[in-house]
Amino acid sequence: MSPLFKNPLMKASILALAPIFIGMCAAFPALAATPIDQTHPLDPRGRVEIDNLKGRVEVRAWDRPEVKITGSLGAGVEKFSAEGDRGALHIEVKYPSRSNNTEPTVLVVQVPLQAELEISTVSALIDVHGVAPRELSLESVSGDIAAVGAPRRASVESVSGDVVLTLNSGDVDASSVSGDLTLNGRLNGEVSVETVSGNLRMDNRGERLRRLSASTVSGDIELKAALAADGEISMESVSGDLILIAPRDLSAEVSGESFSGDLSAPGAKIEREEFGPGSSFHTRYGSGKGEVRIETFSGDATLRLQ
Amino acid sequence: MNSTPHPIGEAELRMALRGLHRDAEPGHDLWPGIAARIASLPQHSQPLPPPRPRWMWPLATAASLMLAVGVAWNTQPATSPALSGAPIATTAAAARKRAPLVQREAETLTVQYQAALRELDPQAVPAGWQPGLEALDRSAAEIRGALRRDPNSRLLLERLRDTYTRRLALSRRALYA
Repeated sequence: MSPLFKNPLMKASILALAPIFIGMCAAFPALAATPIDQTHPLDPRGRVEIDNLKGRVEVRAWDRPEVKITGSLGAGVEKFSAEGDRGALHIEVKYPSRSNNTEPTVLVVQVPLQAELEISTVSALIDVHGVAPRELSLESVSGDIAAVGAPRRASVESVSGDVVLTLNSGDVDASSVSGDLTLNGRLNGEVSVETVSGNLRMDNRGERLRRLSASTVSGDIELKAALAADGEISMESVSGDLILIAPRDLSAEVSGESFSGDLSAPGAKIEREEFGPGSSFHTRYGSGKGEVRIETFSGDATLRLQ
Repeated sequence: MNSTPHPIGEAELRMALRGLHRDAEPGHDLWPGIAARIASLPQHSQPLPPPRPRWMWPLATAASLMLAVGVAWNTQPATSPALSGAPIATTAAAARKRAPLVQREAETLTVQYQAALRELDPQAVPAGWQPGLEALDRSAAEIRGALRRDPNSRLLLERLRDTYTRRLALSRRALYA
């Protein structure tokens, strides 16, 4: 037996302090975190896939043909792996199935500027900055997503986390269930944005979109968008309010329809059903080359030209 | 940079990056048949084209599951329990025949959806998934309520279908979390 335990007073003191020590360890899990520091070669246009259940995933672009992974593994992680070759690298933080006694993991990953990127999390936050891949795919359940970059195409999905995107891109497909969704940037291709109950805002910074589809059930939508010649905009909601802000030189056939919401468009005559609810309008701006369709059930819909 | 063909050139890339810091269906899906029947209805107005944004999660599987369970359901005796908030609790044949087609389709869809959901939901779902699942349930209830007010709305039927599909896909995904 240790000399410490031979002294009854000392033994009692140690036993009394033990729960406090254990409690401190539980209160400061970062003490148990394991640092990560790895570097892997990757082609400048290779592919990086990252899976992390909880914590945070930060990705930054750099000019080197390699991937540097730093951060800290949370206590209780089953396995951390970074496997692949120069063409593709898969980074995964594996947690024990359905375990609540694990701590979050923070991954800070530096990737080649144009490397394709796919990130999947559950509660972990996703923060991506400065990348310019052909394909960018971000997916989270409850974690927020923030991305700034110039991917050729982007696909972003969240369930309850908020999404804030600043993308200079051709095509973007972004959706959320209850989280709010904000999309800004120079967007000039096909954009599809959708929420269920989250609010949605989009501003394409004066670029002209070929096609824009925006829909929600109960969230409010505000789009500030310009339309390419022969372009199309479609907006739908059940109870959410819709606002479309278009430039004064809008050239499109515009139609709107609602069961019980109020419709408004500059110069448009709102037709109301003679018996029962329902209203609609159809009007043309400019030469009417493009097409805009707006439909709600009970939400209001407004078109503004400015 | 290597010589891999790439649609974006360096100059274009620089242009694309510039200013960023300042700005800081599966073949056997139920829907095609439903859509075809609805499309044959007299048109009140120009219908919106079906907006089908891609949902990355396994919608195909979920939709197939809806179909599979739906087929199984339709071959069983009509013993479905009443659904809270759903307009399908009493599905007397005569009443169904009188109901508008959109409403009937919504009722069929709801029965099939509820059956599929019962297969998926007995498992405990991790807490982080609940807000999304509950939001979808609230939205589905809202749409069903709206359909009672406007039983001819294609918009509502399409939203209902999308909401059900997302809910099933999310439940299925949660099973493997």
